[in-house]
Amino acid sequence: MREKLDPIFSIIPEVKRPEYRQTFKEKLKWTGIILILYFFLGQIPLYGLSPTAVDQFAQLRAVIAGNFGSILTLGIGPIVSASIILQLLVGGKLLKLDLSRHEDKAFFQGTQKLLAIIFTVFEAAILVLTGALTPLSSAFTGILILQMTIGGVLIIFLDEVVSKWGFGSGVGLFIAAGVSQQIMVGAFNPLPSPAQPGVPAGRIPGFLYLLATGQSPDIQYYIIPILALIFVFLIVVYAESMRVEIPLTMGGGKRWGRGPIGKYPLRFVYASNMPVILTSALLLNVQLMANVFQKMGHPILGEVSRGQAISGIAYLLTPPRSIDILYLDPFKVIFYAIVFIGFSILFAWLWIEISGLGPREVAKQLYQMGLQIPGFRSTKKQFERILKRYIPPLTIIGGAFVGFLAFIADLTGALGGGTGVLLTVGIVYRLYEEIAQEQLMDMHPMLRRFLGE
Amino acid sequence: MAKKDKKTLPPSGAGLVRYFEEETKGPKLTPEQVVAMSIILAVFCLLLRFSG
Repeated sequence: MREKLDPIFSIIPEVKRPEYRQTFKEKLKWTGIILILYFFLGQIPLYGLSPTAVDQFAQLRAVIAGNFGSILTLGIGPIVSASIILQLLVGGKLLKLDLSRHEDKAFFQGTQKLLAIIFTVFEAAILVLTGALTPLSSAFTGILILQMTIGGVLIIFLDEVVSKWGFGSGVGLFIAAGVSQQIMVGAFNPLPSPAQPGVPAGRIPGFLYLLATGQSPDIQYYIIPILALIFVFLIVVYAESMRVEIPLTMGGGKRWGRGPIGKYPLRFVYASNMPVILTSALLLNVQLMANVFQKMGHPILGEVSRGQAISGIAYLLTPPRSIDILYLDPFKVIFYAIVFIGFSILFAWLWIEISGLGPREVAKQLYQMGLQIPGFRSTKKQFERILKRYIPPLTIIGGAFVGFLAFIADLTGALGGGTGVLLTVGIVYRLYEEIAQEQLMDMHPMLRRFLGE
Repeated sequence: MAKKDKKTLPPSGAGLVRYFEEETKGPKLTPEQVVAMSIILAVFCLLLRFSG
């Protein structure tokens, strides 16, 4: 199979790596250029889309960094799906790759991109053919799919430019950009809202306007989402910086100076946002399938009306996006919370196991580097025993924690959406760390001047 | 995502997409070409509406 794919890989273009170490300023330049292009592409409307089309996946739009109705409707969805599926296949040994070998890594990289392109076409076709994106007339079906495919392929290359020439990854950057935009517009948009003519659509100007004109603003609509956003932001920043640090020294009996020479930090949210993304994607697929079954005339997952599930399991698994539901339909909220947090824990554990972040793999890597935990014998077993004390509980508690936080953010209607806020804060925090590290490594006069000014 | 080489510690947490340093055999694009390609295709999409 590998021989068959090789000729395909040699025609898919790839972004070149920089030949020399990029300076801070150059990285900043490319990150900025790509960000501007991303926003620009997100403003190009799909030609041939019916104006009555309703975004069924509005809640997840932020997570996949897509802009509904634009050529970037798919966003990074195809890239993420491709990577997750490939990692599952490799982790589950269905695809036998040894990711420490050069050829296998190249094969992984090539397959990931090919899959991302296939997913782009496939997802575009599904969206149009199931009627999630309604064409003006059936003559526009092909043209809609073509435009979304162009947008999807461009995103793949933009992502590659950021990961090779800029800070962090394109995927993270686009998610953070999309959610931040949503938050800024949601909070500060001064333009009149379509629902209440005359009242600014942004929560803050809207609230002030209503106060100034002597009306009583709806606290639940204007104030709670902003407070919820700040609350989630603070909690996530705090949790992101929470670590279990395992002291390490160089082995062999000799110590470099006194005391530990380094620390291996294990993040409290060890499985990162992965559990929330996987859970959201799974629940989204339930909605998608409900749609498909309804089209086939057998709504076994529940009925869908105007893109919203209104009954059955699909309804129960729609994120509760307002506190009202808490007393209107408490059963749904409890059911959703249990399913969401349960799956978050399950996916956290699964993800650690399959992506080689479990105690055994980490122990092996630390041992091979010749490191030692002071006060313990330097054996692989010993490492594994100590890591086993921390990694599994961190995985489970971290998974439950992110699941719970995303659920609370959704329930309180936090601007940007639960999953979106959670992802964005994590991404921005890690971007900040990378930039700080960059600054340490590359104390360039240019950089010093840049930061000093 | 963090770049890996033999001297760095294993990652301290999971990531969304896995990137490797390895290159495939495909033709190489410079970032400038990617930017140009994006603009050309964007203009193409904008021009579609005047085509028919």
